Amino acid sequence: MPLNTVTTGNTILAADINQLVQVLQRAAGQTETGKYHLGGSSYTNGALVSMYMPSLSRTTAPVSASIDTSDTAPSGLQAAPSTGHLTANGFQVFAFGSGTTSNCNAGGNYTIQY
Amino acid sequence: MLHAIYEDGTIEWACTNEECEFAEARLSAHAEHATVKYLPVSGKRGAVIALPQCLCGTQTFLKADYTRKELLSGMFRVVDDQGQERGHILKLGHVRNLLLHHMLHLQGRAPEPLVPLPSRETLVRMLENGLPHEVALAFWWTHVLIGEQVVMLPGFDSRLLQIETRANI
Repeated sequence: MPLNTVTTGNTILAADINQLVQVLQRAAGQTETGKYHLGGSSYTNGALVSMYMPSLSRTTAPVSASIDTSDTAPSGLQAAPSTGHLTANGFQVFAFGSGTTSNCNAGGNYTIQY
Repeated sequence: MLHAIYEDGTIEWACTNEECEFAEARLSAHAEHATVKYLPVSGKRGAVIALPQCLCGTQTFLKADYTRKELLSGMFRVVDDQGQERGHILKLGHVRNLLLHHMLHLQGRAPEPLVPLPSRETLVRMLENGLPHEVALAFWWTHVLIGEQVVMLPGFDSRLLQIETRANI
């Protein structure tokens, strides 16, 4: 959802500041969305390909994380990526290589629910 | 996040992909089904519970590696009309995650969660008072977390509490 801008000369309301605060500190029931892209190489079958996705929101412990592969279908990987290490600062996206390959990729949307 | 856990073990959640044709519908599965999986990852922490994939390919993973600090930060402050703080309660999203984790633990498919379930007598008493099971568990786990937090305050020697208790007997 786009944020509201404040015009010079207008009163800055609490809601104007709070919309920024809520991006950095999500409240219960809110979500943060974004994009991720997992890329790497696999030296053997089952090698770990991993990345860490930092969240904009901090301090609030998340409830869940959802990912898809709508931008880049998994290639060179055994299956679609999974997530782990879900904390207030972000989460891990990882998958396992399907053999010896120099090009493992997967990418799409993520949603963190608080 | 989970939207509901029913007494028969059915769980419900929604796909987070706004462009999914099932975005308005509820996805459901049974907690005993193999597609609901506890996934330990490398290291002591980081575990999640994987829910089945939506038909659009989106998959949701529930947090399953809570620390005491994270659960304490995941509480609502309950205030009355005058703004006076009346207490705290754990958010339902975390309650449902913990409940599903316990259900997987009872099946032998996950290690024991951080906070225990109440005894059967305690839970029955809360349910007999008209509380929905999720709210009853929210109250119970809040009590477990905050009660231990009080004992763990820096400078508080729990042995003093035991000495005082024995003196009062």
